Amino acid sequence: MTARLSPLPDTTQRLADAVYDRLGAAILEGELPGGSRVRDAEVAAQLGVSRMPVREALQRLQRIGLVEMSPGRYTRVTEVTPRLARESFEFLGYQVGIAARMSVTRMDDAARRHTLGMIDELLGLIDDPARYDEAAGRLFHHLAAHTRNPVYVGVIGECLIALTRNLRGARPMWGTAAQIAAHLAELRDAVRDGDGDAAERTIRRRHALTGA
Amino acid sequence: MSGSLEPLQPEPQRLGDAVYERIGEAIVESRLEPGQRIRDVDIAEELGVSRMPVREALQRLERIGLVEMSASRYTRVTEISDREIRASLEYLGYQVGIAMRMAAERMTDEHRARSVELARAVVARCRATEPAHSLDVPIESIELIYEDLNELYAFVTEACGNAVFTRAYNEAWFGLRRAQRGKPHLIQTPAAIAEAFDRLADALAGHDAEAAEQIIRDMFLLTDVGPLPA
Repeated sequence: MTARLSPLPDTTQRLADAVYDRLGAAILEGELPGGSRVRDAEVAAQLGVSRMPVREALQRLQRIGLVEMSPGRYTRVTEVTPRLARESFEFLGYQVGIAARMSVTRMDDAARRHTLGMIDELLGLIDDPARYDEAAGRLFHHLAAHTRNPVYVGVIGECLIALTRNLRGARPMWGTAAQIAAHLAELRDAVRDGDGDAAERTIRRRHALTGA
Repeated sequence: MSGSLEPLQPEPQRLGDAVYERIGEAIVESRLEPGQRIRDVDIAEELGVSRMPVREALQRLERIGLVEMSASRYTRVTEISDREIRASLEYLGYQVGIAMRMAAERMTDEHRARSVELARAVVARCRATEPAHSLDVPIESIELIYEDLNELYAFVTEACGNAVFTRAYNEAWFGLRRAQRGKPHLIQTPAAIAEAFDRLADALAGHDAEAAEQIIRDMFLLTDVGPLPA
Protein backbone atom coordinates (compact mmCIF):
# COMPACT_ATOMS: atom_id res chain seq x y z
CA MET A 1 0.00 0.00 0.00
CA THR A 2 2.90 2.43 0.40
CA ALA A 3 2.53 5.69 -1.50
CA ARG A 4 0.14 4.34 -4.10
CA LEU A 5 -2.35 7.04 -3.27
CA SER A 6 -1.59 10.75 -3.27
CA PRO A 7 -3.26 13.04 -0.70
CA LEU A 8 -6.71 14.41 -1.42
CA PRO A 9 -7.40 18.12 -1.70
CA ASP A 10 -8.90 19.48 1.47
CA THR A 11 -12.60 19.71 0.69
CA THR A 12 -15.07 18.70 3.33
CA GLN A 13 -17.82 18.01 0.84
CA ARG A 14 -18.27 14.45 -0.24
CA LEU A 15 -14.95 13.32 1.12
CA ALA A 16 -16.15 9.73 1.21
CA ASP A 17 -17.01 9.98 -2.50
CA ALA A 18 -13.55 11.29 -3.26
CA VAL A 19 -11.94 8.45 -1.30
CA TYR A 20 -14.21 6.00 -3.11
CA ASP A 21 -13.16 7.39 -6.49
CA ARG A 22 -9.51 7.27 -5.54
CA LEU A 23 -9.60 3.71 -4.22
CA GLY A 24 -11.80 2.58 -7.09
CA ALA A 25 -9.35 4.01 -9.62
CA ALA A 26 -6.44 2.32 -7.83
CA ILE A 27 -8.23 -1.04 -8.04
CA LEU A 28 -9.28 -0.43 -11.64
CA GLU A 29 -5.78 0.46 -12.75
CA GLY A 30 -4.26 -2.53 -11.00
CA GLU A 31 -2.31 -0.50 -8.46
CA LEU A 32 -4.33 -2.45 -5.93
CA PRO A 33 -4.51 -5.89 -7.53
CA GLY A 34 -6.81 -8.73 -6.44
CA GLY A 35 -5.82 -10.08 -3.05
CA SER A 36 -4.14 -6.87 -1.79
CA ARG A 37 -4.94 -5.98 1.75
CA VAL A 38 -6.32 -2.52 2.40
CA ARG A 39 -5.90 -1.02 5.86
CA ASP A 40 -8.22 1.89 6.53
CA ALA A 41 -5.72 3.62 8.83
CA GLU A 42 -3.04 3.49 6.13
CA VAL A 43 -5.35 4.76 3.42
CA ALA A 44 -6.53 7.55 5.73
CA ALA A 45 -2.93 8.58 6.45
CA GLN A 46 -1.96 8.51 2.77
CA LEU A 47 -4.94 10.56 1.70
CA GLY A 48 -4.72 12.89 4.67
CA VAL A 49 -8.28 12.23 5.85
CA SER A 50 -9.90 10.67 8.89
CA ARG A 51 -10.84 7.00 8.97
CA MET A 52 -14.56 7.69 8.69
CA PRO A 53 -14.73 8.54 4.98
CA VAL A 54 -12.33 5.67 4.28
CA ARG A 55 -14.62 3.24 6.04
CA GLU A 56 -17.61 4.60 4.14
CA ALA A 57 -15.76 4.23 0.86
CA LEU A 58 -14.67 0.67 1.66
CA GLN A 59 -18.21 -0.37 2.52
CA ARG A 60 -19.44 1.05 -0.74
CA LEU A 61 -16.69 -0.81 -2.61
CA GLN A 62 -17.71 -3.94 -0.74
CA ARG A 63 -21.29 -3.59 -1.89
CA ILE A 64 -20.24 -3.55 -5.52
CA GLY A 65 -17.94 -6.49 -4.88
CA LEU A 66 -14.56 -4.81 -5.38
CA VAL A 67 -13.37 -5.46 -1.84
CA GLU A 68 -14.32 -8.06 0.73
CA MET A 69 -14.09 -7.98 4.47
CA SER A 70 -12.89 -11.14 6.11
CA PRO A 71 -14.27 -12.48 9.37
CA GLY A 72 -11.00 -11.35 10.97
CA ARG A 73 -12.11 -7.86 9.92
CA TYR A 74 -9.45 -7.09 7.47
CA THR A 75 -10.27 -5.82 4.02
CA ARG A 76 -8.83 -6.96 0.76
CA VAL A 77 -9.40 -6.45 -2.93
CA THR A 78 -11.42 -9.31 -4.45
CA GLU A 79 -9.94 -11.58 -7.10
CA VAL A 80 -11.60 -11.71 -10.50
CA THR A 81 -12.56 -15.38 -10.74
CA PRO A 82 -13.71 -16.87 -14.05
CA ARG A 83 -17.19 -17.06 -12.55
CA LEU A 84 -17.20 -13.38 -11.61
CA ALA A 85 -16.03 -12.42 -15.10
CA ARG A 86 -18.76 -14.59 -16.66
CA GLU A 87 -21.49 -13.17 -14.46
CA SER A 88 -20.31 -9.62 -15.12
CA PHE A 89 -20.33 -10.26 -18.85
CA GLU A 90 -23.86 -11.64 -18.69
CA PHE A 91 -25.06 -8.79 -16.47
CA LEU A 92 -23.50 -6.19 -18.75
CA GLY A 93 -25.12 -7.73 -21.80
CA TYR A 94 -28.59 -7.54 -20.29
CA GLN A 95 -28.09 -4.01 -18.97
CA VAL A 96 -26.62 -2.59 -22.18
CA GLY A 97 -29.44 -4.35 -24.02
CA ILE A 98 -32.19 -2.59 -22.08
CA ALA A 99 -30.30 0.72 -22.24
CA ALA A 100 -30.24 0.38 -26.02
CA ARG A 101 -33.91 -0.59 -26.14
CA MET A 102 -35.00 2.41 -24.09
CA SER A 103 -32.61 4.98 -25.55
CA VAL A 104 -32.80 4.09 -29.23
CA THR A 105 -36.56 4.58 -29.05
CA ARG A 106 -36.42 7.78 -26.99
CA MET A 107 -33.51 9.74 -28.45
CA ASP A 108 -34.06 12.76 -30.69
CA ASP A 109 -32.49 13.20 -34.12
CA ALA A 110 -29.41 15.03 -32.87
CA ALA A 111 -28.69 12.33 -30.29
CA ARG A 112 -29.27 9.68 -32.93
CA ARG A 113 -26.73 11.25 -35.26
CA HIS A 114 -24.30 11.48 -32.38
CA THR A 115 -24.86 7.79 -31.56
CA LEU A 116 -24.25 6.77 -35.17
CA GLY A 117 -21.01 8.76 -35.11
CA MET A 118 -19.91 6.93 -31.97
CA ILE A 119 -20.61 3.56 -33.57
CA ASP A 120 -18.62 4.58 -36.66
CA GLU A 121 -15.76 5.57 -34.40
CA LEU A 122 -15.88 2.11 -32.79
CA LEU A 123 -15.79 0.46 -36.20
CA GLY A 124 -12.51 2.25 -36.84
CA LEU A 125 -10.98 1.13 -33.55
CA ILE A 126 -11.52 -2.63 -33.70
CA ASP A 127 -7.79 -3.23 -34.09
CA ASP A 128 -6.89 -0.98 -31.18
CA PRO A 129 -8.33 -2.71 -28.08
CA ALA A 130 -7.44 -0.05 -25.50
CA ARG A 131 -9.01 2.79 -27.44
CA TYR A 132 -11.91 0.59 -28.49
CA ASP A 133 -12.72 -0.17 -24.84
CA GLU A 134 -12.67 3.51 -23.98
CA ALA A 135 -14.94 4.41 -26.87
CA ALA A 136 -17.27 1.51 -26.05
CA GLY A 137 -17.50 2.79 -22.49
CA ARG A 138 -18.44 6.24 -23.79
CA LEU A 139 -21.13 4.75 -26.01
CA PHE A 140 -22.62 2.90 -23.05
CA HIS A 141 -22.66 6.10 -20.97
CA HIS A 142 -24.33 7.89 -23.84
CA LEU A 143 -27.02 5.21 -24.25
CA ALA A 144 -27.61 5.06 -20.49
CA ALA A 145 -28.11 8.85 -20.34
CA HIS A 146 -30.64 8.68 -23.16
CA THR A 147 -32.76 6.05 -21.43
CA ARG A 148 -34.06 9.09 -19.51
CA ASN A 149 -34.60 6.70 -16.63
CA PRO A 150 -32.87 8.10 -13.52
CA VAL A 151 -33.23 4.82 -11.62
CA TYR A 152 -31.41 2.94 -14.35
CA VAL A 153 -28.72 5.61 -14.58
CA GLY A 154 -28.19 5.58 -10.80
CA VAL A 155 -27.90 1.82 -10.44
CA ILE A 156 -25.73 1.26 -13.49
CA GLY A 157 -23.49 4.19 -12.54
CA GLU A 158 -22.76 2.47 -9.27
CA CYS A 159 -21.95 -0.89 -10.94
CA LEU A 160 -19.83 0.39 -13.79
CA ILE A 161 -16.47 0.55 -12.08
CA ALA A 162 -16.79 -3.05 -10.84
CA LEU A 163 -17.90 -4.27 -14.26
CA THR A 164 -14.96 -2.55 -15.92
CA ARG A 165 -12.52 -4.18 -13.51
CA ASN A 166 -14.15 -7.60 -13.74
CA LEU A 167 -14.13 -7.61 -17.54
CA ARG A 168 -10.61 -6.37 -18.01
CA GLY A 169 -8.74 -9.19 -19.66
CA ALA A 170 -11.97 -10.83 -20.78
CA ARG A 171 -11.31 -9.90 -24.40
CA PRO A 172 -11.70 -13.44 -25.79
CA MET A 173 -15.38 -13.34 -24.77
CA TRP A 174 -15.95 -10.50 -27.21
CA GLY A 175 -15.24 -12.56 -30.33
CA THR A 176 -13.23 -11.97 -33.49
CA ALA A 177 -12.77 -8.65 -35.28
CA ALA A 178 -15.18 -9.81 -37.99
CA GLN A 179 -17.83 -10.68 -35.41
CA ILE A 180 -17.41 -7.31 -33.71
CA ALA A 181 -17.74 -5.49 -37.03
CA ALA A 182 -20.87 -7.44 -37.96
CA HIS A 183 -22.41 -6.66 -34.61
CA LEU A 184 -21.66 -2.95 -34.88
CA ALA A 185 -23.20 -2.85 -38.35
CA GLU A 186 -26.41 -4.38 -36.98
CA LEU A 187 -26.43 -2.02 -34.05
CA ARG A 188 -25.92 0.90 -36.40
CA ASP A 189 -28.94 -0.11 -38.49
CA ALA A 190 -31.08 -0.50 -35.37
CA VAL A 191 -30.08 2.95 -34.10
CA ARG A 192 -30.69 4.53 -37.51
CA ASP A 193 -34.15 2.93 -37.71
CA GLY A 194 -35.03 3.73 -34.10
CA ASP A 195 -35.65 0.01 -33.58
CA GLY A 196 -35.10 -0.64 -29.86
CA ASP A 197 -35.98 -4.32 -30.08
CA ALA A 198 -33.43 -4.92 -32.84
CA ALA A 199 -30.78 -3.01 -30.87
CA GLU A 200 -31.41 -5.12 -27.79
CA ARG A 201 -31.41 -8.34 -29.81
CA THR A 202 -28.04 -7.69 -31.39
CA ILE A 203 -26.50 -6.78 -28.04
CA ARG A 204 -27.87 -9.92 -26.43
CA ARG A 205 -26.54 -12.07 -29.26
CA ARG A 206 -23.19 -10.43 -28.76
CA HIS A 207 -23.22 -11.46 -25.12
CA ALA A 208 -24.37 -14.98 -26.01
CA LEU A 209 -27.64 -14.43 -24.20
CA THR A 210 -30.09 -15.70 -26.76
CA GLY A 211 -31.00 -19.27 -26.02
CA ALA A 212 -28.84 -22.36 -25.82
CA MET B 1 -38.96 12.08 13.97
CA SER B 2 -39.62 10.75 17.46
CA GLY B 3 -41.01 7.25 17.58
CA SER B 4 -40.56 6.54 13.85
CA LEU B 5 -37.58 4.29 14.44
CA GLU B 6 -37.06 1.65 17.10
CA PRO B 7 -33.66 1.26 18.78
CA LEU B 8 -31.25 -1.19 17.24
CA GLN B 9 -29.43 -3.85 19.18
CA PRO B 10 -25.95 -2.89 18.05
CA GLU B 11 -23.99 -5.71 16.47
CA PRO B 12 -20.58 -4.43 15.55
CA GLN B 13 -20.64 -5.97 12.10
CA ARG B 14 -23.26 -5.01 9.56
CA LEU B 15 -24.46 -2.14 11.71
CA GLY B 16 -24.38 0.13 8.68
CA ASP B 17 -26.62 -2.29 6.79
CA ALA B 18 -29.04 -2.54 9.70
CA VAL B 19 -29.30 1.23 9.98
CA TYR B 20 -29.76 1.50 6.22
CA GLU B 21 -32.58 -1.02 6.28
CA ARG B 22 -34.26 0.59 9.26
CA ILE B 23 -34.30 4.06 7.71
CA GLY B 24 -35.21 2.68 4.27
CA GLU B 25 -38.21 0.84 5.71
CA ALA B 26 -39.32 3.96 7.59
CA ILE B 27 -39.27 5.91 4.32
CA VAL B 28 -41.03 3.17 2.34
CA GLU B 29 -43.73 2.95 4.99
CA SER B 30 -44.05 6.76 5.14
CA ARG B 31 -43.15 6.92 8.82
CA LEU B 32 -40.55 9.30 7.46
CA GLU B 33 -42.57 11.37 5.03
CA PRO B 34 -41.54 13.08 1.79
CA GLY B 35 -40.08 16.48 2.55
CA GLN B 36 -39.36 15.61 6.15
CA ARG B 37 -36.01 16.83 7.42
CA ILE B 38 -33.87 14.28 9.18
CA ARG B 39 -30.85 14.89 11.34
CA ASP B 40 -28.23 12.22 11.74
CA VAL B 41 -27.85 12.95 15.45
CA ASP B 42 -31.58 12.37 16.02
CA ILE B 43 -31.56 9.08 14.18
CA ALA B 44 -28.38 7.98 15.91
CA GLU B 45 -30.00 8.68 19.23
CA GLU B 46 -33.25 6.89 18.37
CA LEU B 47 -31.41 3.83 17.16
CA GLY B 48 -28.86 3.94 19.94
CA VAL B 49 -25.87 3.97 17.60
CA SER B 50 -23.09 6.40 16.74
CA ARG B 51 -23.41 8.92 13.92
CA MET B 52 -21.03 7.08 11.64
CA PRO B 53 -23.33 4.23 10.52
CA VAL B 54 -26.18 6.73 10.22
CA ARG B 55 -24.14 8.93 7.93
CA GLU B 56 -23.15 5.91 5.87
CA ALA B 57 -26.76 4.84 5.59
CA LEU B 58 -27.95 8.31 4.57
CA GLN B 59 -25.32 8.57 1.84
CA ARG B 60 -26.37 5.21 0.53
CA LEU B 61 -30.04 6.24 0.57
CA GLU B 62 -29.09 9.41 -1.24
CA ARG B 63 -27.54 7.40 -4.06
CA ILE B 64 -30.81 5.54 -4.64
CA GLY B 65 -32.76 8.80 -4.39
CA LEU B 66 -34.67 8.27 -1.14
CA VAL B 67 -33.09 11.24 0.61
CA GLU B 68 -31.35 14.36 -0.58
CA MET B 69 -28.60 16.27 1.14
CA SER B 70 -28.40 20.00 0.72
CA ALA B 71 -25.23 22.03 0.53
CA SER B 72 -25.96 23.35 4.00
CA ARG B 73 -25.69 19.73 5.07
CA TYR B 74 -29.20 18.93 6.12
CA THR B 75 -30.91 15.84 4.85
CA ARG B 76 -34.50 15.33 3.91
CA VAL B 77 -36.69 12.63 2.48
CA THR B 78 -37.26 13.25 -1.22
CA GLU B 79 -40.67 13.87 -2.70
CA ILE B 80 -41.64 11.14 -5.08
CA SER B 81 -42.93 12.31 -8.44
CA ASP B 82 -44.99 10.50 -11.07
CA ARG B 83 -41.91 10.47 -13.22
CA GLU B 84 -39.90 8.62 -10.60
CA ILE B 85 -42.70 6.15 -10.04
CA ARG B 86 -42.85 5.47 -13.76
CA ALA B 87 -39.07 5.21 -14.02
CA SER B 88 -38.92 2.83 -11.06
CA LEU B 89 -41.64 0.58 -12.43
CA GLU B 90 -39.96 0.51 -15.81
CA TYR B 91 -36.68 -0.41 -14.17
CA LEU B 92 -38.36 -3.06 -12.03
CA GLY B 93 -40.11 -4.60 -15.02
CA TYR B 94 -36.90 -4.95 -17.00
CA GLN B 95 -34.93 -6.38 -14.09
CA VAL B 96 -37.59 -8.85 -13.02
CA GLY B 97 -37.93 -9.93 -16.64
CA ILE B 98 -34.19 -10.56 -16.88
CA ALA B 99 -34.21 -12.42 -13.55
CA MET B 100 -37.09 -14.65 -14.73
CA ARG B 101 -35.21 -15.36 -17.91
CA MET B 102 -31.96 -16.34 -16.18
CA ALA B 103 -33.81 -18.32 -13.53
CA ALA B 104 -35.98 -20.20 -16.04
CA GLU B 105 -32.81 -21.13 -17.94
CA ARG B 106 -30.89 -22.68 -15.10
CA MET B 107 -32.56 -22.83 -11.68
CA THR B 108 -32.10 -26.02 -9.70
CA ASP B 109 -35.13 -28.32 -9.66
CA GLU B 110 -35.83 -27.38 -6.09
CA HIS B 111 -35.72 -23.64 -6.80
CA ARG B 112 -37.80 -24.15 -9.91
CA ALA B 113 -40.51 -25.94 -7.96
CA ARG B 114 -40.55 -23.16 -5.38
CA SER B 115 -40.72 -20.40 -7.99
CA VAL B 116 -43.65 -22.14 -9.68
CA GLU B 117 -45.37 -22.39 -6.31
CA LEU B 118 -44.86 -18.66 -5.68
CA ALA B 119 -46.18 -17.77 -9.14
CA ARG B 120 -49.25 -19.93 -8.49
CA ALA B 121 -49.73 -18.15 -5.16
CA VAL B 122 -49.98 -14.86 -7.09
CA VAL B 123 -52.56 -16.48 -9.37
CA ALA B 124 -54.61 -17.69 -6.40
CA ARG B 125 -54.41 -14.30 -4.70
CA CYS B 126 -55.56 -12.46 -7.82
CA ARG B 127 -58.40 -14.90 -8.45
CA ALA B 128 -59.61 -14.24 -4.92
CA THR B 129 -59.52 -10.46 -5.45
CA GLU B 130 -62.64 -8.42 -6.20
CA PRO B 131 -63.34 -6.74 -8.52
CA ALA B 132 -61.39 -9.01 -10.85
CA HIS B 133 -61.81 -7.03 -14.05
CA SER B 134 -61.07 -3.53 -12.81
CA LEU B 135 -58.02 -1.54 -11.76
CA ASP B 136 -60.15 0.04 -9.08
CA VAL B 137 -59.27 -2.45 -6.37
CA PRO B 138 -59.18 -1.60 -2.64
CA ILE B 139 -55.72 -0.58 -1.45
CA GLU B 140 -55.56 -3.40 1.10
CA SER B 141 -56.08 -5.94 -1.68
CA ILE B 142 -53.43 -4.25 -3.83
CA GLU B 143 -50.96 -4.44 -0.95
CA LEU B 144 -51.61 -8.17 -0.59
CA ILE B 145 -51.02 -8.75 -4.29
CA TYR B 146 -47.78 -6.75 -4.10
CA GLU B 147 -46.63 -8.82 -1.14
CA ASP B 148 -47.04 -12.02 -3.13
CA LEU B 149 -45.44 -10.52 -6.21
CA ASN B 150 -42.50 -9.23 -4.21
CA GLU B 151 -41.95 -12.60 -2.59
CA LEU B 152 -41.74 -14.19 -6.02
CA TYR B 153 -39.46 -11.44 -7.35
CA ALA B 154 -37.16 -11.65 -4.32
CA PHE B 155 -36.91 -15.41 -4.67
CA VAL B 156 -36.20 -15.39 -8.38
CA THR B 157 -33.65 -12.58 -8.21
CA GLU B 158 -31.76 -14.64 -5.60
CA ALA B 159 -32.13 -17.91 -7.50
CA CYS B 160 -31.15 -16.52 -10.91
CA GLY B 161 -27.56 -17.72 -10.54
CA ASN B 162 -25.87 -14.38 -11.17
CA ALA B 163 -24.51 -12.76 -8.00
CA VAL B 164 -23.61 -9.52 -9.85
CA PHE B 165 -27.24 -9.16 -10.90
CA THR B 166 -28.59 -10.00 -7.44
CA ARG B 167 -26.37 -7.40 -5.80
CA ALA B 168 -27.41 -4.61 -8.18
CA TYR B 169 -31.09 -5.52 -7.82
CA ASN B 170 -30.96 -5.51 -4.04
CA GLU B 171 -29.25 -2.15 -3.92
CA ALA B 172 -32.15 -0.56 -5.80
CA TRP B 173 -34.77 -2.37 -3.76
CA PHE B 174 -35.96 0.36 -1.39
CA GLY B 175 -36.37 2.78 -4.24
CA LEU B 176 -38.46 0.25 -6.16
CA ARG B 177 -40.51 -0.66 -3.12
CA ARG B 178 -41.21 2.97 -2.45
CA ALA B 179 -42.39 3.51 -6.00
CA GLN B 180 -44.83 0.61 -5.62
CA ARG B 181 -46.24 2.23 -2.50
CA GLY B 182 -46.07 5.85 -3.58
CA LYS B 183 -49.50 5.62 -5.13
CA PRO B 184 -50.54 2.02 -4.70
CA HIS B 185 -52.16 0.99 -7.93
CA LEU B 186 -52.26 -1.99 -10.21
CA ILE B 187 -50.82 -1.86 -13.70
CA GLN B 188 -53.12 -4.70 -14.78
CA THR B 189 -56.44 -6.00 -13.49
CA PRO B 190 -56.38 -8.94 -11.04
CA ALA B 191 -57.86 -11.16 -13.75
CA ALA B 192 -55.10 -10.18 -16.20
CA ILE B 193 -52.37 -10.76 -13.60
CA ALA B 194 -53.85 -14.17 -12.75
CA GLU B 195 -53.88 -15.14 -16.41
CA ALA B 196 -50.30 -13.90 -16.97
CA PHE B 197 -48.84 -15.55 -13.89
CA ASP B 198 -50.56 -18.80 -14.70
CA ARG B 199 -48.60 -18.77 -17.97
CA LEU B 200 -45.50 -17.62 -16.09
CA ALA B 201 -45.72 -20.62 -13.78
CA ASP B 202 -45.86 -22.88 -16.85
CA ALA B 203 -42.92 -21.08 -18.45
CA LEU B 204 -40.81 -21.43 -15.30
CA ALA B 205 -41.73 -25.10 -14.96
CA GLY B 206 -40.99 -25.71 -18.63
CA HIS B 207 -37.59 -23.92 -18.79
CA ASP B 208 -39.09 -21.43 -21.24
CA ALA B 209 -36.83 -18.44 -20.55
CA GLU B 210 -38.01 -16.39 -23.52
CA ALA B 211 -41.68 -16.68 -22.55
CA ALA B 212 -41.00 -15.99 -18.87
CA GLU B 213 -39.29 -12.70 -19.68
CA GLN B 214 -41.90 -11.67 -22.25
CA ILE B 215 -44.78 -12.29 -19.83
CA ILE B 216 -43.16 -9.95 -17.29
CA ARG B 217 -42.48 -7.28 -19.91
CA ASP B 218 -46.09 -7.44 -21.05
CA MET B 219 -47.28 -7.21 -17.46
CA PHE B 220 -45.25 -4.05 -16.89
CA LEU B 221 -46.43 -2.59 -20.22
CA LEU B 222 -42.91 -2.67 -21.66
CA THR B 223 -43.81 -4.35 -24.92
CA ASP B 224 -43.42 -0.96 -26.55
CA VAL B 225 -41.06 1.65 -25.18
CA GLY B 226 -43.23 4.57 -24.21
CA PRO B 227 -42.10 8.05 -23.22
CA LEU B 228 -41.44 8.83 -19.57
CA PRO B 229 -43.34 11.87 -18.26
CA ALA B 230 -41.21 15.04 -18.30
